[in-house]
Formats: sequence, C-alpha cells, structure tokens
Amino acid sequence: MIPYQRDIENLSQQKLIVVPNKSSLGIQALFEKNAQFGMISGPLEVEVKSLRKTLASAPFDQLKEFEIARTRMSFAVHPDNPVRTITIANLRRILLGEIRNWKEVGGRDIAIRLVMVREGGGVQASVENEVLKGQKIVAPDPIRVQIGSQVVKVVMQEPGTLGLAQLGVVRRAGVPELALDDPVDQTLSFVALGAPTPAMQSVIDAARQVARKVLE
Amino acid sequence: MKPLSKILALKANGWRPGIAFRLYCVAALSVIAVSALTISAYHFARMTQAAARSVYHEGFPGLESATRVQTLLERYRRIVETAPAEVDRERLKASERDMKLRGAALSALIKRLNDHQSDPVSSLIEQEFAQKLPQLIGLGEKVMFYAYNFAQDKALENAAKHAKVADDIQDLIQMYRDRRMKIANAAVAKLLQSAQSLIIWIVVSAVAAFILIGPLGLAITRRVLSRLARITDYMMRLARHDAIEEVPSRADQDEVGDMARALEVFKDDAVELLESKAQLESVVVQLAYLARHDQLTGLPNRVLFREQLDKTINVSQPNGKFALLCLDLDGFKSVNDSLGHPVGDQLLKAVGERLVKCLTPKDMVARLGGDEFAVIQADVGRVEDCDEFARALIEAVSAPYLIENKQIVIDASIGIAIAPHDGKDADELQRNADMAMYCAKAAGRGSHRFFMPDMRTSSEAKRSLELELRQALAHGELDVYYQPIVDGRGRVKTFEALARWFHPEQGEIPPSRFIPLAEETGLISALGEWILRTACMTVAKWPADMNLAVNLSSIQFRNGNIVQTIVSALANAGIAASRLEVEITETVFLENNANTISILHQLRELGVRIVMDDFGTGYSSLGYLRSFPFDKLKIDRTFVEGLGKSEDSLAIVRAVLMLAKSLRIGVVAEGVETAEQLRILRREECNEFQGYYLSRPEPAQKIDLVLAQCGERIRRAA
Repeated sequence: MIPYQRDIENLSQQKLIVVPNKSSLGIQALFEKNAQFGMISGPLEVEVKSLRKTLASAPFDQLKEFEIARTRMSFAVHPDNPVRTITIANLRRILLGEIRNWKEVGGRDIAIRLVMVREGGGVQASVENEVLKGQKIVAPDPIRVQIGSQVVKVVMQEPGTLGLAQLGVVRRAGVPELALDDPVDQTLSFVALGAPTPAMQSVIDAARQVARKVLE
Repeated sequence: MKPLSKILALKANGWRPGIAFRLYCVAALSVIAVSALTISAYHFARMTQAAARSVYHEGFPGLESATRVQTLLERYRRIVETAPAEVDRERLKASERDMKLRGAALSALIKRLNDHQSDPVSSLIEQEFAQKLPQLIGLGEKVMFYAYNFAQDKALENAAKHAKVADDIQDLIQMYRDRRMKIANAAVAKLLQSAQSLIIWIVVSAVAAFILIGPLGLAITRRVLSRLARITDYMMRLARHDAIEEVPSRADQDEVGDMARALEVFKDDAVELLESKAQLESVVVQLAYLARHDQLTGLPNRVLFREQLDKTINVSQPNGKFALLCLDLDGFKSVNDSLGHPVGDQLLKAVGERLVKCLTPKDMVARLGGDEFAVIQADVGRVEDCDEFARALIEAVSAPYLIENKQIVIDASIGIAIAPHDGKDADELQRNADMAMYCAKAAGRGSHRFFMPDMRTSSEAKRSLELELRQALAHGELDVYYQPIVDGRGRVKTFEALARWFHPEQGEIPPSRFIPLAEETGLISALGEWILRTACMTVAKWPADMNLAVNLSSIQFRNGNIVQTIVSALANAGIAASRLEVEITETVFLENNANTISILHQLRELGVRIVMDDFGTGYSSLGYLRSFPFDKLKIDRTFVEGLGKSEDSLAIVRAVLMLAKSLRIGVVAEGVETAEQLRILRREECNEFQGYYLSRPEPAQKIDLVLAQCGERIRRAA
C-alpha cells in the first residue's frame, strides 16, 4: 500500500495516513474509530471469525468490504536455496509440518522454517483457507514477524526459510519465490465501518484504479 | 548602670547633650548600622556560599547523574524494546553494540554514584540501581539474542521483562531525582531564605545608616551650621563695627550656646576695645600731629620742616632753586621776661600768623623752637626775589603788636641760604642759613643776610678759637689782671678781676673776642669759676681792706650752683664774703628774674655785695633797682665817654648819681680814660672811678705800682 499511497492521494484528492499492520489490527482500528479504512489481504469472514474471540461485542455486521485487487500468494525462499518450484501438495505438507527439510523437496539438507506474519495476518488466513482448506499451519518453529515486508527480510537472511507474503512485497524485495503448479489467489480489500462517505469512496476508487495499473 | 540609664540620670541633673555628643551618637549609630550591614552581609554570604556549595556538589550533580542515568536508560531501553520488531540482523548487531555501550556507560555511572558519598536515602537508591542494572542488562542481552534469531515472541517476552525492570529503574531514577531535587530545593530554599534575610538586613541597615548619615546627620549639622553662620555673621558685623545687637543662640544649651555666651563677653570687651582704639587712634593722630607741629603756633615743627626740606631738595634737584630762610626774633626775650610768658606765647603765635600770610602756597614756615623760625621759599627765580621776600617777612614781623593792651615792637634777623648753590643737603643748607642769620643778627636788628662762603671761614675761625680757648683754660694759658676801683681820695678799695688771654701765636686776644665766645659756647661758667677762685686766692694775700670785684655772667646764674661756687672759692682762699663784690648786668635778670633775685639775696646774706654793671644801657634798668637793693651801680662807659663832649651824657650821669644818692647806693663810673672825665665825675660827686686813666688792668705782681699810680692820678685830676 505504502508504495502507492501518493498515487492514490493524487487521484482521490484525499490525504492518507497509512499504518502498515496485520489485517486484524486494521479492523480493530475501525471499531476503535481510529481509522476510516482497514486493509485486509484475506477473506473478511476469516478475520471476523478470528476477531470475535477477542471483540465479541464489536459491530461486525456494519463492516463493509470493498475489493481493491485480486492477486496471488507468493512463497519466498533464500537466494541460496536451489529449490525454485514445488507442488501444491508438497507445499501443503510443509505447512502441516510433514516435510521439514529442503532435502525432501530436492534442495540441500537444511531444515525448513516458515516465516509469516503473526496471528491475524491476511496472507496466513488466505493460505490456510486456500491451500490447507481451513486447516491451520502447524509447521514447527515458525518465525513470526509483525508485517509482510518483514517476511521477505527474514527470508533474505535465513537460508532455510520459506516466507509467506503478498506477491507485490516479494517482487519489490527481489526475493526468489517458489513457483507452484497451482497458484493460490489472494484478494486485497478495504474494509469500512458502515457506508463510505464520498471522500472514502473516492479513495476506494483511486485505490482500485492504481491497483489495476500495477497489476497490468 | 547601663549607658541609657546613665544618660537619663545625667539629664535629670540638668545635663544637656551637646553637639559633640549628638554627632558622636550619630557616628556611633552609623558605625553600628554599617557594622550590622557588613556582618549580616558576611553571614548571609556564608550561608549563600554553603547553600550554593550544597546545590553545586549535591543537588545539581545528583540531578545531572539522574538525568544521565535516565537518558542512558531510555536509549538502552529503546534499543532493547525495538529489537523484537527488527528483522534486519545487521541492524540488530549494530543495536546490540550500541546496547552494550549504553549498558557499560550505565554501569559506570551507577558505580560512580555508589562510590560518591551521598545522603542515606540517595545511597539506598543508588544501591538499588546497582542491584537492578545487571538484571536489566541480562534481559537486554536476551532480547537481542532472540531478536537476532527472529524469535520475536521470546524477544517480546524478554523485552516485556526488560521493560518491567527498566520501569523499576525508571522509578528509582525518579525517586533519586526527587531526592536530589529535594536536596537542591532545600539548598535553594536556604539560599532564598538567606537572600531574603540579607535583603531585609541590607534594607534595615541601609535605611538606618541613611537616616543617621542623611536626614538626621544633616539636620544636626544644618542646625549647628546655621547657628554658627548666624554667629559668624554677627562676628563679621562686630568686626565691621556695625550696629551691635544681641548675640544669637545665647540661650542654647550646647557648644554653640557656650560660644555665643563667650562671644557676648568678647563683644563687651570688643566694644570697650573699639572705643579705646578710637580714642587711641585719635591720640595717635594727635600725637603724630604734635610730633610734627608746634603746639603753640600750629606751624610745622623742626621734624616736619626737616622732612619738607629733604623733600624739597629731592624734588628740586638738580637745577631747581629754593631758599631757606632762618629767622630769629630780636628782642623777644625781653618781651618774654618783662611781660611774661603768656604774652610771649601770644606774640609768637601772632608772628607765626604774619609769616604764614607772607607765603605762597608752595612755601612753608616752621617754628624750630624758642623765637626761631624757618621758611622754605620755593621756586626762587632770582636772588632779588628772595631779597624782597626777606624784607617782606621782616616788615611783617616788625609791625607793632597789640597784645593784652600792650603795644609790642620786635624785629627779626634773617639768614638766607639758596639751594643748591649754598648747600646740597638739608644739614648744610640749614647750617649756612644759620650762619647767615648770626651775621645778620651781628649786623643789627631787623636785617637779613645771604650766606657768603667767607661766613663759613669766619665761623670756622670762631670754632678754632673756641677750641683754643678750651685748651687755654685747661692748660692755664689764661691770666687774671686786676683793674683798681678808686675812691675820690685816691684810695683803692677794690680791684676788678679781669681775664686776659695771651695766645702763643696770636698774642693777646682781647676779652671782647673771647668772652662772648665763652658765653656762646658755655665755657663762661668754667672761665668765671676759674677767675673767681684765682682772684680769691690772690686777694687773700692782700691787705684785709682790699676788696675783690668779679663779673658774673647770666649763664653762671642759669646753672644754679653759683652760690656754692662762691662759698667754696671764699672758703678755699680764706677771705670774708664782705671782701667780694659781684658785678652783674641786666641780662642776668632777663633769663629768670625770680631765680636771679633769689640767688642775689642768698649772696647778700653771705655778705657779698652786689653791683649792677653797665647801668643805663638796659631796657628797664630802673625796674631792676626796685627788684633788688644793689650795693652799687656802675655807670656804663658809654655815658662816661660822652662827658665833656655831650650834655646828654652829663645829664644821664648826673641823674644816675642823684638816683643812687636817693637810694643810698654807691656809684662807680667805669671807662674813665681822661682827667677831664675824672674831674667832671668828681665834681658831680661820684664815689668811685675805674678806667685806663687811673690804671689799666695789671697782673697781681704790679699791684703796688698800681696803688701808687692811682693816688697820683687822683691828685693830678684834683
């Protein structure tokens, strides 16, 4: 979001303050009236389900989702890691802790460590929803970071890591990624509490327009 | 007793504080105020110093340490607490290095705090620091370790612990700061209190000093000065002799009052002094006037005349001419003696007035003494002018005077010296004018003479003769000759002793030359006494019926011891007073009539006979006959000389003889030089005769011859 903030402001003629964070924190900020928009990179219902555990009385019914763009998941690896392709099945086994060493998928003898945004992140929710079909990631000793951009940073420093991040983040960092035989889609949306104001709508429109251009 | 009590006791006894006491009090109080100011300033400065030292050494360093600990802790904490979110290992390594540095700095600072001696509370806190810090550092290192290994949860977990410990330390820092702040505040409060006290002290002392030195001191000083000014003004007025009034501040009971009261006394003295001074000045002026003026005539006296003469000489130098005229009255003595001094004094005043009228404004007349006057005739162009002026003076003086209904006629003789020809200085001029005046006097009454150089010669010759006469008298060069006085039968009863001077070079000097000189110089007293004693001694050798006649000068009478001299001479010679005849002239009476008569009576009582010499030539010979009963009269030679030639002389001689006969007084005719004169005198029944016809004066050795010669001459004349 941050790399495109200026473009969105120019198009919407609105001044934006962007706080990069997990999807759940963005929604929480909406309830707390600290933000007009929350940004999510996974399905809203997954986030709501997760949030209801801690914010049971929050007006979840007023949440409105505005899809901005559709993209795919990216699984970043260390540049020294020779593995560049993987099947969705092996990926699932890695996420479930069944495969723990890169040697098992054609790489060197080095343990696989997952790097992902801690609980509440949109990417993790999307992976669990799309790849594991609702199962939780249970790979041992994962590295949890605060935001998505940290994922690629950790991957760049740890040879055995496998980072779960948005495609844009990985590409901007220039980190190698594993090519899947079946790519995993991901939806990027704005969430508002109630109907958006015209100003908010202009921001939504501008974001969609910029995203379209970026994806093209 | 306290000082205040002492003062009150003194005041009760009538004592009043004087100016000095008040000024000393003000000065003492001022010193006390200034001392208090100084002491308080010193005291509070010390307090301020102590407080400042406390703040400087305790408060501020503590606060500074606390702040540094705080700062270091915050940085340390930021490093540690941001580490869990950091996924960049390079940056984590850098953060770890920074963390270790901060940790070391913190350790060092805490150690230093512990080493420093603090108050107990601060020390306890410092110990707490020391205990907590390793725990903090250990947790920090753990956070770093987990962050480096991307174990964010563990890192966060330790970061939370780290934060807890850091919070504890933070609280300790706050406590420590509060404690230090409290110490600093206490010191600053002390400082403030000290400053406030100092301000109060300064204000109080300054106000006290200001009041004492300023208004109070000024008021006292002004009061003293204003009163002193009034007294000074009074003294100035007193000095200027302004109207004298009451002395101010006399009632004041202090030093000024004492001064005023003293001045009151001085004022009275000063008034008396001023009056005395005024009188004295008047007397001084009068004395100065009298010292330079003649009291009788009011004319300048000799002193002023001399000053004027000197001045005229100086002013007229070198070519100016002026004349000095010395004027002596002729016949004044006779007037004085006959008519009395009051008349004589009036006459002198009248003469002075007449002389003044003859002067021009530039001229000057002075009375030099007695009947002596002097005139300065200024601006003499020609000698003729001076001549006319002298004539005018003589004419003015010679005009008759009417004093106390008596007509008096006198003359004046004037000697004139013209400056600068006749004298360069006052002494010379006066001497020459005097010389000219004596010449004029010698020439006869009412004449004047200009000074001529030969007068000086004559005068010098006279002075030389005077010296020689003194020597002659001292060396016995004089001799006594005796001229007989013969009676009608040719008997010599008396010899008149006459002095003779045989000069070794000039031969015999006639008595007409040296007797007047002796009288003029006063030698006549010694000469007369010498003749008297010598003659007495001579006569003592002669028969007892042989008498001696001696002449006595008026000067001898003036000396007052003539009676004793005669008694002594008679006693020494051993002859009776009855053998002595004293011949006096009328001039003897002119000097001092009463004294002369008294002396004559004393001589008469001794037995000495008194003979009036030169009878008939005087001013009032007959008057003298009434004053004193003379034993004999000596008819003046001028009358005897005219016998046989002039009837007048015979008439006078006859009248004198008749008068003497009537008064039963003997008569001697002197100057008998011819037989004819002797014959006439004998015919007119004159008793005794004396003269060259009978005998010249002869020395004692020739007395026998004289006796024989006299008898022969008498017989021949008969």
